[in-house]
Parts: sequence; C-alpha cells; structure tokens
Amino acid sequence: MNRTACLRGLFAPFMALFLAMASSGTALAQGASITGRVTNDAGAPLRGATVIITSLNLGTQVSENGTYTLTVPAASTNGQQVVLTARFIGFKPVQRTITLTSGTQAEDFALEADPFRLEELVISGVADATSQRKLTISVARVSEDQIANVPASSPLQALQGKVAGARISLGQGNPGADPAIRLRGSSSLQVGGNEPVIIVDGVITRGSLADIDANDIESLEVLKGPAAASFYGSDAANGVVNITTKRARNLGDNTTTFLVRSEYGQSGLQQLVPVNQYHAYELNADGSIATTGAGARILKADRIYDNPFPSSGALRYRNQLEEWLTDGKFYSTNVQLGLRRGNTNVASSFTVDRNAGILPFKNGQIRRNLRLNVDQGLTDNLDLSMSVAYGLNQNDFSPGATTGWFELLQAPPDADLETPDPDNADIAYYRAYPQFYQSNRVNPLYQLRYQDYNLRRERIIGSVQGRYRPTDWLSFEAVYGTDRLNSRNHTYTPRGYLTEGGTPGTGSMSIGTNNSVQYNAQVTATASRSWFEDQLATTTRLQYLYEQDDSRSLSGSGSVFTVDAVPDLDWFLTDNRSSGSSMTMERTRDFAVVQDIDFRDRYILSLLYRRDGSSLFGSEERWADFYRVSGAYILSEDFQVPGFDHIKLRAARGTAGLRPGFSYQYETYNSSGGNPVKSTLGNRDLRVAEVAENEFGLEFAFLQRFNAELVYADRVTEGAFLNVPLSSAQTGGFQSQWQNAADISAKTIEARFDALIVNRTDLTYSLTLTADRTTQNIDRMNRAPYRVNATGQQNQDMFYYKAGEPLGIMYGRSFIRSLDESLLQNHPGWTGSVSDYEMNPDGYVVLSANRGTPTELPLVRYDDSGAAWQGVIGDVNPSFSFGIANNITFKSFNVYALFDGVQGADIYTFTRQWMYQDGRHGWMGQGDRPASERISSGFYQSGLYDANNPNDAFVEDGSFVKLRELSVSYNFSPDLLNRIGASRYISGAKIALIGRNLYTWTDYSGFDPDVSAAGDFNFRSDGFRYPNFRQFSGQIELRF
Amino acid sequence: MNALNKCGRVLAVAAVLLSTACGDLDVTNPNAPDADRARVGSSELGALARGTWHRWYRYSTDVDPWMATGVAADALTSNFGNFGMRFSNVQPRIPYGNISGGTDQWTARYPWQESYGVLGVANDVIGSIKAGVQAPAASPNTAVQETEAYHALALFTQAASLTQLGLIFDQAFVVDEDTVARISAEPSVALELAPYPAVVSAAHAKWDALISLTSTMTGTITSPQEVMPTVGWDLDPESLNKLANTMAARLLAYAPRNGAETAAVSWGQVLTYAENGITDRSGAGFDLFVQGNGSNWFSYINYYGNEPSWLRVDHRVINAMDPSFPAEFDGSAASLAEANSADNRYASDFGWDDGGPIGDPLRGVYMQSTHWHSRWQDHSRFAATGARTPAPYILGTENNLLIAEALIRSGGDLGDAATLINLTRVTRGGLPAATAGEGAATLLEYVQYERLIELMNTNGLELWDARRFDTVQPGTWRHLPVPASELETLGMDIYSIGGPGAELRLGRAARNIRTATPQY
Repeated sequence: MNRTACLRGLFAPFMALFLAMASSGTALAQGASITGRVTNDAGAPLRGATVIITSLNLGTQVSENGTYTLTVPAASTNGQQVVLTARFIGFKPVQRTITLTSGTQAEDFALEADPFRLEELVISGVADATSQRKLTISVARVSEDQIANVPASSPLQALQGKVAGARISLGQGNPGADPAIRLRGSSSLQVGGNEPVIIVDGVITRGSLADIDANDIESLEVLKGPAAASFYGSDAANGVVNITTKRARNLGDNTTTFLVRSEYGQSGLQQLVPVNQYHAYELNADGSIATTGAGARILKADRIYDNPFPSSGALRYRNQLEEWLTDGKFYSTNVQLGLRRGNTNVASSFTVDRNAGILPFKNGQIRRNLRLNVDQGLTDNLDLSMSVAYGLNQNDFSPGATTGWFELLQAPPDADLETPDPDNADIAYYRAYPQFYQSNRVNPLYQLRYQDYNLRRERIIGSVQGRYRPTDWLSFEAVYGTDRLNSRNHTYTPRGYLTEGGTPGTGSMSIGTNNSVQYNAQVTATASRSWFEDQLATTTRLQYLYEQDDSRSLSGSGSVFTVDAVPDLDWFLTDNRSSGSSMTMERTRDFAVVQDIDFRDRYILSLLYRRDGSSLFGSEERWADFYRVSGAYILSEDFQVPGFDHIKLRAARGTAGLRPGFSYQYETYNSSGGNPVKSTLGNRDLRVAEVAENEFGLEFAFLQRFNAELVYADRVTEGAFLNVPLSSAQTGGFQSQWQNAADISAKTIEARFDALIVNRTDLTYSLTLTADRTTQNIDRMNRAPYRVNATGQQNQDMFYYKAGEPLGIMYGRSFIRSLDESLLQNHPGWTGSVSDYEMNPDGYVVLSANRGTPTELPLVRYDDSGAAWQGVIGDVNPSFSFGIANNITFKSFNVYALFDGVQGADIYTFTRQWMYQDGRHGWMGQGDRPASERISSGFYQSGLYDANNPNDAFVEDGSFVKLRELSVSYNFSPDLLNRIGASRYISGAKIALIGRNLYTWTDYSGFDPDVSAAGDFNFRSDGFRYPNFRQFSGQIELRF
Repeated sequence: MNALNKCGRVLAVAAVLLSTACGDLDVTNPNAPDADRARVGSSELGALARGTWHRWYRYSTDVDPWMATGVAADALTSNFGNFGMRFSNVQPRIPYGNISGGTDQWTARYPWQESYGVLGVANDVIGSIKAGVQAPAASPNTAVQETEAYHALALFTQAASLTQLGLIFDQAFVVDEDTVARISAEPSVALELAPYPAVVSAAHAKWDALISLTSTMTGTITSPQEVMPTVGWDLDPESLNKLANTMAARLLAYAPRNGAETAAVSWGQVLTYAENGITDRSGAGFDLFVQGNGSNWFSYINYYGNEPSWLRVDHRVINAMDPSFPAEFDGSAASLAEANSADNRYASDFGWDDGGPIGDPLRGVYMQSTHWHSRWQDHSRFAATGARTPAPYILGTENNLLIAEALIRSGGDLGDAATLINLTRVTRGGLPAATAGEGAATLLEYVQYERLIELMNTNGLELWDARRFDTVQPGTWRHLPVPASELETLGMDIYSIGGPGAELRLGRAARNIRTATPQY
C-alpha cells in the first residue's frame, strides 16, 4: 500500500469525526449543574483550583471566593455515576463519586495541603496516571509554575537545575542552538548519542527543540533511564522527556482568558578571554614599534612580550573582543488565549521572539510559533483532543557555525579591523588583518559582513488523540502524532569576494533542503479494577505503536560563478557544480504490556514487557525484547514514624535500548567524482544496544516542611555502537565498521531536597536542592584505545576511548612541574643534576641556564622506558553537579533565583593553545611581571603550544557556580488594579526583571565554563566556538 | 454496550490497519551501494577501475604529505601550522610527531589511508577479472578487450599506490589481489609489515606486469578522458605503457633514502625504463598534465604550492640560482633584497615579494622567505583561474633528466646526457650549455640543479631528491613511520622517525611520539 495514502487514511477518520462533532458541544438545556466551594482545611478559598470529571473530560476553575459551577451537558447526563475530583497545586486532591442527574447538586471540598506535590499525577512510563506518592520508578516532574518565572528559550533549558541527575548545557551560544541534555550517565559512545527521546503531546519527535515554544508547556516529565523508560523500548535508554502543552479544559464554562507577555532585553558576555597587551619588538624612543628600513619589525633579543603597544594612532592597542562583540537585542512576545464552551475547549498561543546574539552584522534567530490545542467531548464516554504547533525559524548565522570567532580571537591588537579596502572603495573592510602579522588571516569583519547565510525552517508538530471509556474501568486510546519538517539553508559567497591574498574569488554557494515526515500511531487499552473491597487495585495496559520516519534531503553547490551578483546554481561553470541527495527510511513496530498491582495502598508492583522490531537493526537481528520489574513499599502506611509524613522505599530494574543510525548496518561507499570509494564495512548482525538499569530510591517527607528523595542508579550498556576504525590495509580499503563494540557502565547517586523554610501569609520562602554524582566507565571495547574528535574540527581529538578507563578522559602528554629527580632523569636532556633545573614563574621546570632566555622551554615528561609519556591529562566528569532553586514571595513581590554548577569537570582550552601559537593570549604577556620573572615567547609559542597536540598545559578546572536564572517580579493584586482603575481592562498584571546565565563564579579562563563540543557532555573542549552569553531583560505580563 | 461494540470495532480496525498496512521492516539504503550491489560485477568493473585513477591522482597531489615533504627538503618553506609544515621545518630537525591526535597526524595518515583505499578497489577489480568477471563490450572493444583495458587501468593504480607506500613509508603492508583472496579464504591471517625495499620490489613487479600487459593489448581504452583528463593526448595502451615505464624508472630512482642507496640502484634498469618512458633519448615525447576543473580534478601541490600567502621557496633554492644570495632568511637587508641570477628562470618561474616574508618571525625567522614559486601560479589559489588550468604531474623533463642521470650513473654516453640537460638548462635557463667534457660529477650536479628548478611543485619529489642526493639537513626524517592511528588499530607500539641519528628510524624511545621538544 502506498504509505502516504496509508497516512491519509489513518488521519481522515479522526479529522472527519472531530469536524462533525465540533459544533455539538452546545446542547446544554437539560444538563447537570454541580456547584460548591473549594477551600483549604482552614476554610480559606482556593482560587484557581479545578473541579473535574475525568471520564467526561470536563472541568472548571474555582473563582476568587472559592465557588465553582461545573455544567454537564444533557447529552452526557444519563444518571450514571462519575468521579468528581477537586485538585489544586500544593494540595491533596479529593475524589468523590456522584450520580449525574439533571438539575443542580452541591459538592463542597476542603483540601489538605500537599506542599511537595506527592499527589500530583504522572503519566509517563506508567500503566495509567499515577500519583508521585505511588510511583515505583523515578519520574521527575516540572510544572508550569516552576518555569514561568524565567521563560526558557527551549523546553529542555527549562529543566536546568531543577531535576536531579539531568545535565543541561548550551555548549555553544549560537542563537537557535539546541541545548545538550544528558540524564544520569552515558549509554552511548557515539558523539551526541546520549540524548533522550522527546515526546510532545504524544508525538515522538527527533527534530530540533528550538522549534517548540517553552511558553506553551504545562508540564515536563523526565524519565532518567531504562529503569523508568523501558516502557519506551528500543529508543529510550537515554531516558524520555515527555512534554505536555497547555490546554483549556479546566476553564469555567463560557470563559475566555487572554494573556500577553512581553519581554525585551540585551545579551552580552560577563567575561572575555584574556588577550595579550604586550609585544616582543624593539621600540622607538616615542614608544612606537621600531622597523627596519624595509619596514619589518625588529624582534627584541630576549623575545619577551613585555613592551606595550602604542596607546594612540592607527597602530594603537585595542581589545578586539571588547570592540567588536555586541550587546545584541533580545525580545519575545507571547499571547495566550483560552476558551471553553460546553464540551469544547480551545487553548491557543502565539509567540514571536528574536535573539540577536553577540556577533556584529548578524541578526541571529527570529522565531514564530503558533499553537492550537482543542479538546472536544463527543459523548459521555468518548472524546477527542487535537494539538498542533507550527514553528517558523529564521536565522542568518548557522546554529552550529563558528564563523568569525577564530579570526576575532586571533586578531592582533594593533590591527584596525575597520580599515577600508584601499583598492575597492565599495568594500568597507579590508579582507585580511590590515597590519603586519600573518597575511593569511581573514578580517572577521570582512567575513561576517560579506558572507551570507540564511536558514529557514518550518515545523509542524501535531497529534490527534481519541479516548473511549466504555466502562469506568476500561478505556481505549488511539493517538496519531506527526512531526513534519521543511527546512532550507543557503550559504553564499559572492563572486569577487577577496581571498586573504587579495585575489577576487570566483564565488561559491551551497543550498540545501531537508524534508522529513515522521509519524507515530498508537493504540492502547487500559483496564483498572479494584478487588477485595478496594484492598487490591490492578491496572493492565496493552499497547501497539508504529513509528515511521521518511527523510529526504537535496543539496547543490557550486564554486565558479560566471556572472556577478546572481546567487543561482545555473550560473556556475558546469564542472564546478555538484549536487547530492539523501533518502532515509525507518520503521519500527512495538508491542508493550504493563501490569500494575497496588495492594492496600502500600505494596506496589509493576511489571512490563515490550518487544520492538526495527528496520534499523541488522537484518539478522530484527527484534529486541525489553522488560521492567519495579516495586515500592510505602512504609509510612504501616509504621507511624514521629515527624515523618511519608516514607517510601522502591526498587526497579528495567532494560531499554538504543537504535543504530540509519546507515550503520549497510556497506557504504562514498562518491569520489561519481565513482564509488569504499567507506564503511556493513554489519548485518548489528543489534540494538541494550541498557539495563537498577534503581533504588528512598523518599520521605517530614515535619510538613521538608521532602527528600535519594536515588542510586547503575546502568550497563551492552553492545554500545562504535564506528570502529579498521586497518584499511587489512579490510581491502574499508576504513571502519559500525559494531556493538563496547560495554559502558554508569553509576549515579542523586538527591533532591525540598524545603518550605518560611510559610507565612505574606512571606514564603521555598527552596529546592538537586544534586548528583555520576561516574561512567568503558568496561570493554573490542578494539585498541583510540582518540576521538567530537566535532571533526582540526586538532580537537584530545578525548580518548580506552577499556577500563572512565568515559570522558582527555589523553595527551605532560610537562614536568616538579623538581623530582626520577622524572628529570627520564628526560633525554637530563644533565645529571637536579640543581641544573628550576621552576619558572609559571610553575614549569626548565633548565636554569635557559631561564629568562629565548631558549627557555618546558620539559616534556618521559616514562621509564624512555618514551614520551602519554596518559590521562583530564577528565570531563564532575565530582558532583547541583542546582538550587529559591523562591521568595513577599506580599506581591516574588524573587526567584536558580543557581547551578559543577565541581571538578575539566575543560580543554584549545582556544588558548592556538592563541599561544599566534602570541595572542593574555597569559603570554609579561609586562605586568617583575623583570626577573618574565618568560620568553618561545616557551609558550613553541613549548607549550606543542603543535596543537593535546597536552596538560591546556587542561583547566571547569568548576563553576552560576546564577542561572533570576527574576524579580511584582504582581498587581486585584485590589491594586481596582484602585488604579485598571480592573475594567485587565484581570491581572505582572512586571518582572529577568536574567538568564546572569553571573558565573569560576576560575576557568575562557568566556564561559558551560562548554561542550557537538552537544555532548563527554567532550568538554573549548575551541573558538560561539560562547554561552547572558541576557538581561524586562518583562510585562497582562491578563485579560 | 452498543457504543462499546461500535467504537471497539473502530479501534480494532485501526489496530489492524496500523499493524499490517504501514511499512515493512526490511528497508534498503538508497544512498550508497550496498555490499551486494558493489561487489564487482560485470557492469561495475569500469566505474571501479576508473574511480581508482581519480582517487590516486587526488591523493598524489594533495596537501598531505606533500607540503611537509617540500619543507623538509628545504625546497619550500612556511611556518604555518597547516599540513605538517611548521614542525617539519624546525631547525634543528625534530622527529615527526607520530600521534593519532592533532593535524600533523594527517601527514602520514592521509597517504596511508588513501593508498590502501585505492589498493582495495584496484585489488577487487583485478581479483574479479582473474576470477572470470568480464566487462560488457564497448565499441570498439570486444568484451575481452574491454576487460583487459580495465585490468590495465587497475594494475596501474595498484602499482602506483604500492609505489607511494614504498616511497613515503619506512614499512608497509604489501597487499594485492592474491592477498585479498588469501584473507577471504582464511580471515585469521594477519598481514605483516614489510620494510620499504620489499614494498618497492612489490611495486616494481606490478609495473613490469603492466608493461607486459600493455605491450600485448589488442583493444583500446574507451572514454580515456573519463579515466583522467590528460592534456594533449589520450590514454591508450601505448601511452599507458610509456607511463608505466616512466613510473617504474621513478620508483627505482627515488626509492633510495641516501647517497649510498642511490649508488646501489641498478641504473641500467632505470635507463631502460626511462628510455621506454614518456620521452626518449632525444627528449621527444609528452608531458602528463591533468586538466583541472576546480572540483574533481586539480592539484593541491600547485593550488597551495604556488600561492604566495601559503608556501614560499626556501632561500637555499634561490641561493642555488644566485650563490651570492643568503641561503637562509635572517631578516637582514641582504635576505630581504631581490636576488640576481644568471638563470632566466629566476625571473620567469619565481616571484620576489617586496612586501617581505609571510608568517610570524617568532616561530623561526629562518622559516621565512621573500620568494615564491610562480611557474604554475595559474593553477594556484592566488589566481582567478585557480584549480582550473592544466596541472603538471610528470613533465617530459623529469623523464629526460632520469635518462640523463641513468646515463651518467651507469657509465653511458655523457654527450647524450648533456643534450638532455641542455633542453631546459639552455633553452629555458639561458645558462651555458653543459658538455660531456665537464665530466660525470659536474653533469650530475647539473641534473640535480635542473631537477630542483624544473620539477618543483609537480609531483612532490623534492624530498625524494633531497634524501637521495643527501642534501637534507641532519635529523630530517627521510620517510614517514606507519601512522599512529594505524598502529593503534593494530595494537602495535607507536614509533617515529627523525631527529639527529634517527633519520630512518628512531632508535631510543622508539615508542610514542616526538622525543625532543620543538625548538624555534
């Protein structure tokens, strides 16, 4: 059957049904009306609480004085029994079974406090919605009120510092770049292979999350590893982030809400890379740099960077970073609309935001997002929900690009980058660094100004869900979700663009389009029953899921334009045009069954089995099985421990997998001028990488003020994928093969602690602390150790995979830093006496005879066999990471501050290493040191620089504490609005000052220690990438 | 229950649809040929055999290792960290940094990887032909003739890749179609590294095989421009035979690592090959220029080698043309001035940059130069026509000078040798004619000089000449070690080459990397 037709066929009945029923929700005449009050246990009204009938998908909100009215349409009022639930954030929900009859009936509720949300329902990874209190696995839940203070630019960033064991980082700051996330330890050795599955309203999505608006989020649920995520099978070993967007089902009938939130601010850097303020040339009497008759600068005999640059004139000193990095604009406007009428409710939102970043001439990302969520009750036991989001993302700087950073950091301080091109009046900037120095370096301004990049990405993520509840214990659900992407990008260098040497180039252009259609379709049956007078509750869930992903991409490029200013592939010389295409198809079928058993609300057992078949697995290994066994014991139900409100012990063991990439199983040949060239050796026996995790948890709440969770989890990946380099001599020319080549293990201890420190009427202070310690190791690898480069960028292969070593080590050579005779003896230049050596002021051992001279060099460490030592020089794994969220409310003021940080994660500062070769880094400048402590340039430029090979001089401690999010807000109370006469127009208002990535405490020398390459925490190297920057803004929010 | 039945039926139908109608789990990869499809069949022989030529040419003219060998030979100079240039240019010389990290690793890794990549396909083609696979007939060739032509093409790249391995590395694996057959019969067989003389000898045998095959071929090479866009002539059995002879002469002449090994070469054999090569004893014949198109075919040796902002000419070369000119740049007025040479080629083939040297003097003033090679600049990045003009690979002059050198070294006719030398010495250089009367030693010096000036930036032979004429600086690596990445894969100790006393193999500290700290 034609697949597209299949898709349409599947979609059509839902759409038809939805459209047919959309107008049916207005028949209200003889319905039931339930009214009453919802208060806390002291009788105070709970404004904003909801009263719902889940089985009818109906609900309403409680008004300011605590009253509510829930109207049930006549069509749904059949004298049946339904469960009426009143719930409010921070309170235990109360359920009551009532009989629905025409007319009015009264139901009042008094809710008990539940400050730590133990009764909040979780829907991910479980047979049916389950309260936190009864979970047998770890599911971290972050709800809207925890992220609304500082709206994140991406849903994942909203998790930062809030979930124990989750590491989130913007490894590079490009506007529109996706943050990297890793939950607990690594399951994969593939670069970037530790990302969790993201599900948005039932859509399994693998595209950029930069297209999903964080303003739309109602809640995020995070399953951190296979013990919890085995429900999601062969793709879920890295965990699952399940995003639910806002709906209007809890609004009162015939209610419309409208909210406008607008934010405006600026971006900037807190810390700049130190740059060299001194040079090593002879001076004229007036302080200018002396030159020979031929115009060449004259090197000082001592070659020490200690002469200052002139402070005025064309060749004056300037900090190029300070001069050229800009405070780019940031703004965001979000409009949210909610309405409910009868059985129909609609939530819609629109956001436009712009993040200009900090590079000159670049506008950065402009993004528009539109969302429409509709729920429609069809009959008293059948309802439909539809969610659709459209995103349009435009960017004039590639989210992965590093353009300009190398050139800006390496620009000599006496180069006036604004020098116009003397030969071309039309060109505002000279093509290369204008003064002396290397003539083969491009002027970053020329590059940023005259090279053109454009990205346009459209995304539609939508789902339709139908729920049918034939009885109160049985329900069926069908979900169809789709994620459709259309993107195009365009890079254009016009004809006439000058090489650094001044030759007009012939121009170049590349264009690419990418179209991807993913969909998942799922049917589920869930049965929940009580037995033995409610002593035993069981839930059984059966599920079938089909996933499909078809992607097509096309690209074209050319390099010799025959005419000026026509950016079109037609105008390239035929020989200099090339085109490429790619087509990938993936299909997966999954079956799952879950059985939950709850005995007397205290002994809880969950069993799960899942079987996945995937086209991504090798042809000999098409199917894989996964399981989970988990249990919890709520000890506080059996034993009253004074002061403790809740104590739970739980344990789980689950397995999940990682799927191979599309091409892994196939033999691949690259095209060389249209001719096949051997590349990857195929592997038909490639199977899913299977990850098994054990998880043990202890949860307890005490004194009504504190809640804590301690979890220990260990996981083992068997058969992790690795593109194993092969000896092409031995394989007949193939260079590598994807294999299940390694076993990896990771252990995590994580803790969460919530405290209500002050809880008075006009002052509250709550604090949430999350912390984790993760260790990870490569246990087995069926090849010799080798170096890994996360980005493919030159020289950045300081990382090393070796069996028996931690995952995340840096490997290289070392310089001697102590006057230890045994170390010195191994050095080939050993003079025979330690007294011939000394420590130089930078802490490196050098020959005393060379100290302070141009021949002063660091001494490479040698091992006993006489070989230059190579070993572990750094480890990216922190000893622990943590987040502390503080929330203080005083009357109408609210202060929210989120700190997060890591202790002891090393960073390789490749930027500094390369800057050493060019004499540009600030640590090379000697002018601020006493004359006797100065070190000659060669020590850095040849010695430590070491041909950009990995060595321990460039490993820095990447520990940091960040004030990650800060908001100071003022909420206009209804009273105040009334007094100022605004209540006629608005129902609520808030103003806030917001800071993101606001301040960092660190010893790291680079721009920002939040560094990772290729979006992977195992590769913390800093190599001329767009740094993470901070934003400061003002926000105003109006509710109508 | 009616509703249950109805909706249950809807859901059941949906479930059946989902589980049966959409997609099969057996998906093929439409982007790249799969193993079955790429196994050399009748219709693939041609594409695979032709493809080896393209890949062989590209890596034989790429930046690695030729930029590093050029500066190691002191013919070219640069102090940029790219392409292994800076640390192959350091004085005093240091060992090659044979580690699996960093950019310099590609100096050895790239030619190693590409040689075996080409060999892999060439061996498949030859092995399949030997196993009876036949190409379809293509006018005017019969199927047998067409198959023979692809056999010859694959034999060329097989021999040429073994030649590169024998010239560049101290040891390598010798793999051909027979090795492949042996390994597939018995996968546990591990190959062993052979020292360079054995690799050279294996390459030599392949050239002999090609010479023999092309002497008896009855068909032609169809679509020769698709094999390689040669300029002025097309590949056919006869030209392929001549090319094979020149390649064989080059192999034997360039393989020696020092003067003593050079003296031990069978120069009579070289003479025979060279005389059957692309030129004859009168100098008549053809050049191998490859037409650049800026995308698939071009030479990085010219693209960067003739680009004044990347590579300069070492002052030792200028000093050879003008003995009064400083042989090393030191920033003095004399080294900044223009030279004055009796050789017309100083003006025609070289540029003098009155703006001064390039690069940072702090990395080593001696690495700088005011001169650049301009002879092939049309093909350089410097020119608007960059990468799109004919690029020289083997000039007829190279074969002429091989004949002359072989004549001189084998006691042949010195008059003929002088005539061949004068073809460039007098006509292009305007220098006094060489004569037989000047004697073998002087004529050999003339050959050496002509090679230095005439063959610069053609096929990367600068270091081969410098090592066999013993003009490299002490401590210069005279060949490269097996790349560290390969040694890692094989689980072998990593070693390097270079530094005083270790020009052929690093003795002490034969494991791991660089043994001396870089100097400047």
